[in-house]
Amino acid sequence: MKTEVELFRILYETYFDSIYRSTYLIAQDEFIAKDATQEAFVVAFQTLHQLKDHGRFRNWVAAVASNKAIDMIRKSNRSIPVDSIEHLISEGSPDNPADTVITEETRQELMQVLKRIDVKYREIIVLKYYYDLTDEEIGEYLYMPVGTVKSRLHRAKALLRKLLR
Amino acid sequence: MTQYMDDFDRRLSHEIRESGQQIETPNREEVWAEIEKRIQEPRRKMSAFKKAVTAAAVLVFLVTGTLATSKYASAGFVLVKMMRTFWNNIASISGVVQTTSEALPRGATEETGVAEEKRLIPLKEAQRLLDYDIILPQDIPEGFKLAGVYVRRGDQMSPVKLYFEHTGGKGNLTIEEKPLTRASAFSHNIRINDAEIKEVDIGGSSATLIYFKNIESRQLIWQTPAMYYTIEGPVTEDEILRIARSM
Repeated sequence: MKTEVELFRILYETYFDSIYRSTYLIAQDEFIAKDATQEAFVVAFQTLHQLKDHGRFRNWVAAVASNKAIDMIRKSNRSIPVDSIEHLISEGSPDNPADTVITEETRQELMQVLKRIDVKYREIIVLKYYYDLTDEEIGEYLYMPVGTVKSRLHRAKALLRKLLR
Repeated sequence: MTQYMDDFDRRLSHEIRESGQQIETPNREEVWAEIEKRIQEPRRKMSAFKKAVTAAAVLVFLVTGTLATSKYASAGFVLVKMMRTFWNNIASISGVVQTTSEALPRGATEETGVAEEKRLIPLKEAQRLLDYDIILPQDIPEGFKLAGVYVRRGDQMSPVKLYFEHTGGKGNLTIEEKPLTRASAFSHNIRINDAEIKEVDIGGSSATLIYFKNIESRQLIWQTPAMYYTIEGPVTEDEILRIARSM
């Protein structure tokens, strides 16, 4: 019979890579991503009984890691002030599906662009596009009204469209 | 994703995942070593408590763990009954419990890090902290008095342990009540040279009664669809059964 820790390690082995990677995408810093992922698994072990739907384990730990990463970023003042780039939105970027096309060449650029947008937008973008979470799920995990999720997502996409041009 | 996706959404989704795959991950073993160190720390503190209440001679180790890979979760949950196996002079009473549920409770992420060591507190105070009813047996053997309840603060579904002290110094009696709100696994391994094991009925549920001859203590384990119970202490078979049946 496996012990509690051994069983938990199975979960860790299964999800560590994806959770570290998504946390890195949000934090854009390997040390923060590592520490936040580590913290998230510790918290997950301690509070796993609160998770009633076990199918959501990965998303739940990812959201915890994201929250931890953002806390760490804020404490270390590494966040880029949103005002420095947010004015780009007002320059006009119609919400047209054909407006921006991400090509192979722009993949690396995407990582650079992600670094330039505020972490609160990165978080939404990563949870939305890396994990395929719905706006409602993002709101639930981040304790945020769905309306706020939608507006942040809209602004985040507008920024990405603009910056990826 | 069930929500509407335009071309930009689809491309972002694809590119972000592709970008993610190219991120090198740190050494898993090193990260795990740190995690394991952190999660074992409170367990060591708990073991001191367990030793006190289970009378050390017993070679029982109770393991409660989670078994919740996405594979299992997506397959749905099944309630697996306790199994008893014997080999050589070891008996193993083990089981896996999986329960159905709907959603992550709100607070699960914000409450992160608030799990605390269990503390002995009065029954009423413990009840106020919980989302389920603590069951107090109506029939407690003479001499035992409820000293308090161990419960983890900040956790409304925390297992509880009712702690009874014997006024004559006979030893302590404990009753553990654990709501089955999560997938769990447990195992009691007992050297049968030192123990007698029998199956009994508690309210229609099959229960396992163990008598530890060396320390003259008994343990009764059973579960209902919603709860897992353990009673443990220096009581007779009749007494432990009456406790259980009065719950």
